[in-house]
Amino acid sequence: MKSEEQSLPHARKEELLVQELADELLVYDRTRHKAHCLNQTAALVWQRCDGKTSVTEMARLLGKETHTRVDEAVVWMAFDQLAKAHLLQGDAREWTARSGISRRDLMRRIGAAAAVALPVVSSIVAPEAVQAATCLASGAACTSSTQCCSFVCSTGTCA
Amino acid sequence: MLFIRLQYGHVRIDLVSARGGLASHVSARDSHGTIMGEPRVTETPGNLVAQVLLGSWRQTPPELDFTAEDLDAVTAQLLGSGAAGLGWRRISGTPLRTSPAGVKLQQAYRLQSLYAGLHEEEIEQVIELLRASAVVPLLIKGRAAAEFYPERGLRPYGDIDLCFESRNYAKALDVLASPEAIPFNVDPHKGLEQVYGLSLSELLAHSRTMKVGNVEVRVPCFEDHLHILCIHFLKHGGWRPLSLCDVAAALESRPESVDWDRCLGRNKRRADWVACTIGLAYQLLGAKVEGTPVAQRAAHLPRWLLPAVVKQWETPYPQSNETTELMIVHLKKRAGVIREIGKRWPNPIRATVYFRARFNELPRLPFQVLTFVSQAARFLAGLPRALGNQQRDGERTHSIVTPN
Repeated sequence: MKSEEQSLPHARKEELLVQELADELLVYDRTRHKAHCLNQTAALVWQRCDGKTSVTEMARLLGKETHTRVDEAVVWMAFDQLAKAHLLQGDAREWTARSGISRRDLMRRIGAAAAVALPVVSSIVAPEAVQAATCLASGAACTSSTQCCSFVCSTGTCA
Repeated sequence: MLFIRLQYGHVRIDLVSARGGLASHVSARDSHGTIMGEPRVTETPGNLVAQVLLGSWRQTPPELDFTAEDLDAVTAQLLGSGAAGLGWRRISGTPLRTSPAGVKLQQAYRLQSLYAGLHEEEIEQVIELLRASAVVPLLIKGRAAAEFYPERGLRPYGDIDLCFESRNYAKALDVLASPEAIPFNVDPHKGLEQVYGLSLSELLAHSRTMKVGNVEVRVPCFEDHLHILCIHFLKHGGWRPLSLCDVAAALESRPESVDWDRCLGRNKRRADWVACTIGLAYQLLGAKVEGTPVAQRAAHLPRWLLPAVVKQWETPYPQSNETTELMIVHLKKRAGVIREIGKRWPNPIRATVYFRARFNELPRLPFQVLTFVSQAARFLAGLPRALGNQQRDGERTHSIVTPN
């Protein structure tokens, strides 16, 4: 794994709205109108993506926070997921490639070593019935994307 | 004793009634005979909603004794009425958190939390736009009520309720109609005299400021806001459990010294409405009323009131749908007219408030009949115009879709 030699990822900050909950982090992407939920592990990695903290250091910090030994593979997996959700600067594909190991090996290493919860970045989708209470349903007239449950207002209608 | 056994897949449900009525006690077993939940008195969905929301606004909500079936029975109600975040709060520390219903509630809670942040930014922008035109609004309900909860995401709101003094109202509407303000969903109110019996200049004089993002916004003082929240709940026929949670959360966030005369208001009838709403929050949601001057009234509500609210909570949306257009559609089709009339039958709370009547033990039927007649008269008076509008819209649509 070439962790130390690589240029390190920067967390994207622009056009994002971040809401911290008790054990997860919610991120709304204003550009893509997508909402993501980062579990504690993914959130810890993302918050340390400052372009300076090495993968080894991140794994160590993560271990300290979670009181377990954390393999670097967990950090690489988090990069991969964060990049796919467009929460890191740069191209999403490069982070998996940069780890220098295949996805299968990554999963095997994580399976063997991870006592910490795996990093998860999931999408937030509105349950159908919640729409009347907080946001407009698909097809409803809208004037801005934040009014729609889909977060997309296109030509005056919620997508 | 009546005994009925229902089998659905692997699940067996025994309904046992000591009095011969249906479903007094229910116990459910899987195919191995394992009890899935303690035998319990069956509850209506409205009662179950009340149980889920009991104390849900507190920093540490009480433990919930609920089965997956109970939760399933009320998930739609919680999601649809905006109480999903509070529901999630009650179950997040229980095994129900991973049930399908629990997952839905969690997603809704996350969504509500995000919306809280997004709406907060919108409020900031709207307030700044209004300020630039020297208009000072008063923020009520929604975000102002969210302040009573431990997390803002627990109290979702779709629009921004802003009140304006009459002299500023036209100017405020101009600002809100400007291109910069159009994306924001603002519900402007011209005073609150008619519905809430409160003078806006007095409200503003007693108002306090609250920080929303980076801006200071004027909100009613505690006493006025509790008054508004109580009347608002009744005005809408008590259909929304979240509105009663607002009352409960506000009540338990009350400052040490409350001017109860101000909160209840000078009008005795309205004062009793406020006391009765607090009583509902006490009886249905377990709000703490000890030491308040309304504690006595809260314990002795008219017998019809509580069941009327619980009945409303059986569905996720208001049970009456009054849009004239929809009724015209049914009249034209001549199908479902009776059912639609039934849907528009006013509930006893709305009918009482409509006639500014007392909340006492007298039957509500006369108020309901009179309200219905009044609604019907209004509907008939507006019918020619509504029909004309529909015809015009139809012609316009036709000319758009028909190629020349």
